[in-house]
Amino acid sequence: MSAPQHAAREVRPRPPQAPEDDGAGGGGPGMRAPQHAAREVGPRPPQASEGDGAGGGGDCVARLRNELDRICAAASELDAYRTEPRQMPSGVVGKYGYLRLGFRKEADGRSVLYDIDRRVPFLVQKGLYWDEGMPHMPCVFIITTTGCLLQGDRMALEIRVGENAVGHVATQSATRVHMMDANYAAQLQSIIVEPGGYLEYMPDPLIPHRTSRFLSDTAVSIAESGSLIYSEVLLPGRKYHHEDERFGFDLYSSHIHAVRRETGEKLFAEKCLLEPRVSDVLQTGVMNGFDVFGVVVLLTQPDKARRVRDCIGADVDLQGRLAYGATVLPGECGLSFKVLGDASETVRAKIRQFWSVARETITGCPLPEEFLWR
Amino acid sequence: MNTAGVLSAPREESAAPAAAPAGHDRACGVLALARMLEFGDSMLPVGAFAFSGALESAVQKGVVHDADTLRDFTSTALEQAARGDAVGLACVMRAAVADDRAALERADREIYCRKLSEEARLMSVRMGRKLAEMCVEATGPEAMTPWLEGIRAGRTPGTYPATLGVLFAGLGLSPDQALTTHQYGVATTILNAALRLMRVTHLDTQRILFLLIRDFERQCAHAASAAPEDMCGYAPMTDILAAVHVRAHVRLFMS
Repeated sequence: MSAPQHAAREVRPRPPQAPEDDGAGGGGPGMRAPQHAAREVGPRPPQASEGDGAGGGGDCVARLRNELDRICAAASELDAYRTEPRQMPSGVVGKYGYLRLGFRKEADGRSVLYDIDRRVPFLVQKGLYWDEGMPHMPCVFIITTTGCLLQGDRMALEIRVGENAVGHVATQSATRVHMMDANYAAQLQSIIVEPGGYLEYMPDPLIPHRTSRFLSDTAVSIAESGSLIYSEVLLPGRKYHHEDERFGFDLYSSHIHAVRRETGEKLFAEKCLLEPRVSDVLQTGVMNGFDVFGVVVLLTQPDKARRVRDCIGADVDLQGRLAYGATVLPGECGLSFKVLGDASETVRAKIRQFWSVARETITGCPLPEEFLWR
Repeated sequence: MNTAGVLSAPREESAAPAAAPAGHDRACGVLALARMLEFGDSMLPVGAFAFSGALESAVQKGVVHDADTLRDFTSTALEQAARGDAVGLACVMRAAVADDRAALERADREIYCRKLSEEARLMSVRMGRKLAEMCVEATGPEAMTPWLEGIRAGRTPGTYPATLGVLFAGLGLSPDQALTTHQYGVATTILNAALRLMRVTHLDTQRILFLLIRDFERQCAHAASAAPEDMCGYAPMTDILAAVHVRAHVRLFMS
């Protein structure tokens, strides 16, 4: 699809108040005041009522911050990195990002992004309907106004997809985790998918610069009839920038875990821990000499998971420099699809192919062509 | 005898109690050592010979093609086991010694829900169940009877590390002994499969085993001290090879 057509799609009737500058843009203490800093309602404002979000904004922010603090305190892999930066202390205003997104299905069949709450450095503007394969789906770009993650940053993200609603969340560009000489950066992602809900959360790759430390915790609560596609791509660093930057980071820790929404039953957990300075991540059986690692977690119903698995296949091609394969998660609750390659492009292309198959299988809708500028 | 799972079986005076901290077990007696050999032996009828831990597809795809790559592949499997299954095994032993059935089953489920490959899950629960059945049928201790009942009733998945933990706690063996047996089993399963899958000699595999056993002390010390939430891993190529194996046309092994 050509660029101008997509751009045209974004020009829709705007809601009464442009929410871009509300509340969260600043960095001072005042930014905490607006509880629902921006309440975006899609092309036709459906009068979202104030009370039906994920709860009071301040409560949510505090709850998630406490949870992230608890996770960081309990993570023994961070023990070597608890010193405070000489610059701004860790986790203060401006270094504690918060973002809440709520998707809901409207009576006319379209879904809307009806709930946004945000704290700098997270920024979200509005749900746009750029996806021509699913024109009823609001798509959201998460913007990080600081452009990167720095030592002492804490980021908390909450996404809730209501009954039978659909939503797509992406980032504007790669997430760079800058060099660190103290502390670490951490993020908590809480994703809730209600019955019949469908969420695509496909952030751009993560680029950990040398000596960086990054911890991520992704907690999913998903209904039996809900579906989620979530991807992570990890680059080895800026490998053409500096000789020490191919896996020159200190720590990358990513914990993804899911529970069943109805019962609280634990579905699966995977904690990836990379400490390239401690053990050789390029070793046989680990990265096996590949530079780029991608993983997609697909949570859906067992029959759909099996269909996607059978369609996508699995292969290790050492000459063609690509390896990929999907395994069925415990209880057949979905798939874990892993990809290894030498470049971000090949890995992301494979992930896109998986995403396309998964979307078609789950929703019956096609994935439109990639934007030319992506 | 205590039927709930702790210290119920033949215990000799010299064997350290299972609750003893790591290091105390050096004074263990001949019986404890012999029990360790018995349950760590690759001829133990739990079906380990049917699994290759993704080595079969690693050989087919050229990831493992000589003794050096086999050594690295086995080393990766041991490191993964030490940071994952073995941490769970140590938790199970603590729960079994404390006679805390709920904690025991919780640890078993934690091990199970971290097995993201269907073949790895199958291997773990099949060998776990076989081990429990063999103990109930042939060896004891009595703690294995309620454990097998739990598996049969679907109360607990019965993974291999968890079952091994219940067994060793029941025999009064130490966590170090259980962890060593576990790591030894991981290595020999892959190396025995290698003899049937690729061109390596018995001398090659013995050389590799001798070399890799040097890491056991560090691996077991980590597993014994880690908390259950520390269970982790990172071996994407092994995971992909497991996915390749599920779809392979020609298969000698079940994983």
